Amino acid sequence: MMTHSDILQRRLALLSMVLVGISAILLARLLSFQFRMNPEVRRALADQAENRYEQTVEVMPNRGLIYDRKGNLLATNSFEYRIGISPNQITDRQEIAAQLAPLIGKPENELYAKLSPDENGEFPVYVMLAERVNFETGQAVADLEIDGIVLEPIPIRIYPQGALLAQIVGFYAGADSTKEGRGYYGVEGFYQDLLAGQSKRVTTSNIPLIEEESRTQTTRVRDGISLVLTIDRDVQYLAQEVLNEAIETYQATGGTILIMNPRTGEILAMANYPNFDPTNFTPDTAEFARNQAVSDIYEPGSIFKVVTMAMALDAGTHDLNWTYYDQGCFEAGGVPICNWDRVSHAGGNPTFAQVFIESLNTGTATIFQQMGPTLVYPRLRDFGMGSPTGVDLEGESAGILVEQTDTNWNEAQFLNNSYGQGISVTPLQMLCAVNAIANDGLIMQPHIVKARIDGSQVIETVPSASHRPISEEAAHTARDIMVQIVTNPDREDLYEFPTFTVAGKTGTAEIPTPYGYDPDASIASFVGFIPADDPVVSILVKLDRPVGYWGSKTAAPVFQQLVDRLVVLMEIPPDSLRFQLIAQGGAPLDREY
Amino acid sequence: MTSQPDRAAPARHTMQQSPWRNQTQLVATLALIVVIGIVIGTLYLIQTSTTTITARELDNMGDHRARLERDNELLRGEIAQYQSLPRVMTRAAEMGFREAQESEIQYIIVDGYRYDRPRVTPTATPTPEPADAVYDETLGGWLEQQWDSLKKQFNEWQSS
Repeated sequence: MMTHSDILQRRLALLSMVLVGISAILLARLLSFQFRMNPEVRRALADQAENRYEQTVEVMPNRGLIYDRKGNLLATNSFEYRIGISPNQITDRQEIAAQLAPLIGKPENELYAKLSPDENGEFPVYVMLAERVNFETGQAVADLEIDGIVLEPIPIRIYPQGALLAQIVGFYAGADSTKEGRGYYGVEGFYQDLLAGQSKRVTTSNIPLIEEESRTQTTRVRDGISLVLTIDRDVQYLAQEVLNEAIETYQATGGTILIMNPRTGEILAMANYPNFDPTNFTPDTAEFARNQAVSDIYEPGSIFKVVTMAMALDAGTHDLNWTYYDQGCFEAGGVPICNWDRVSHAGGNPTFAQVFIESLNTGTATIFQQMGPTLVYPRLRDFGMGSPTGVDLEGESAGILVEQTDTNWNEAQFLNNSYGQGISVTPLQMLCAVNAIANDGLIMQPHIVKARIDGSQVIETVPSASHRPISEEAAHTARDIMVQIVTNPDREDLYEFPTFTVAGKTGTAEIPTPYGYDPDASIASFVGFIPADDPVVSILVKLDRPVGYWGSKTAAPVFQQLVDRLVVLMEIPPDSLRFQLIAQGGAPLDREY
Repeated sequence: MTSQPDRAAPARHTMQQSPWRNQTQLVATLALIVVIGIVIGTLYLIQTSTTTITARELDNMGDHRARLERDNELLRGEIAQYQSLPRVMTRAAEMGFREAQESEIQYIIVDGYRYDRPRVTPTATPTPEPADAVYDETLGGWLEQQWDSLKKQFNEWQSS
């Protein structure tokens, strides 16, 4: 018979076995949990742990700055703030609402409601107090040192020159605290990648003892590269002011003044009307953000005759002794081609130079007729017609050049091309073509960025040749004829350059509409360069639909007004003085411009 | 057979005479371990708190630097706005200045003087590179730092 002690012993042994068994099962489960866990569960748990102990933030680089050629700041950075708060971290809601209300500009009771618990008595983890406040407000809120307040900086761009350079610089938009913005139009758009720099994702431990740890390939945040433009702010201001006055005087609907250095291809000024103010940008003004000087095409009219002249001289098909029979009008391809006054000039036998001095459409059309399309079109291509110039600005157009191989080509259009009708160009394309004459036959690559600043390194843009459409000799002959155009004593144009030799050409282009050319409106223009023998600047003035119609009566006086002030601003000495300085061994025009 | 003398006898005799020696050794050993533990713990706590404080200070300095950088950006923008040409021209006009006309400019030729245009090259304003961290701490220096830190904490406690 079992005693009480035996029974107890047996029960204890049984209990021990049960406990050991349970322990063994738990141990097995523990080992399984540790070493044989479902990979997805393991990953989820690891993520949870990481989120608890680490936070990953994207450290944003500073966007590169933009300067003009003299170091004036055109675009810089600042910040706005998004303000949020964690209500569960604050104690005195009323006091905090009272402190924040005047700064954020919201009613105190509205803020108090945001800081209060919901109907279940639970506090939200985060509430937004203000979507965007300016830098000063953000700093004032930060100075309150309120627990639980979250200030998220949002990068913004400041354009200190306002509307003056808006279409050249472009604008930056689209940034919030979590998403980087980007540049649009102009330099901001074209150089987006360079200006933006490179951000870096940094994983920081919430435990203060542990150093921050980068999980990226980059060793540090790379700030954006700053750009120095070829633009001279003072010249730009002058060009814009002269253009605005011209728009008002001639009641034009739009216009462009483009100033370049034909020797280097640098763009010194690019003024357009209408333009926009980047500090007050709205969807309504968005259409004016494009830079008309590179994005809008037009039929250039008679200023294009200088291209015809240069091509004919270079091809060798025509020279200064060439002449033709001028009837005032003639018919080609079933279309009449007439001089601007529809009358015969120079007793019916104008010379090659007189064709351009008197701007005779019949003369240029005859030249094209004699050259033929196979000789003309490749040369027009060489002058950059029908192709973008490759300028470093966003939104450039290629222009329209209808060639013989195109289905809509006809002879009349081909002959019209000789005096700038039936062909479309951008103002920049047109000025670059004239630059070939100014620069001894060589078109330099037009560019807007003079240098890039990467930290302590300055990388200057080296001027490079784009095309050589004509020989040096042809360029010089064409230049001399352009000087004769300006100095022609018989002309009735409203301009005078007593102290400088100017090479130039007026243009009055008809405006195409779906129903033919508009008989009442024109695009008036003047293109030229000074000093003619050693050009410092080439200039294109273009006015859309001016009252006064003719380029010689509207754009040419504007050109003169601009040049009169430009030579003072750029310290271009009068010819007589310049020749004296050169005689003394100086180089008065050997400059950056 | 000769019997071997009992070599452990004197020790056993000593222990029998003063049985507390065993306990004293045990207590002394335990006390030593505790003291060493306390010293190590104290040093660890000091090191931990110092690191934490330093990390916090670094955080604050980082925030301060970011704020200064933003202030600088803002000031740069403000200065540029004050120097913007439309503003300068308006201000100049208010002060009675006007543009010089071409006819008002007199050029003077100085005999023998060679006039060459100065060239302006864009210059960079380099961002200062962060200095590399220098690790030149010695054990003596570290101990000195700990001692100074202890003294500082003691002084702070005393003054509070």
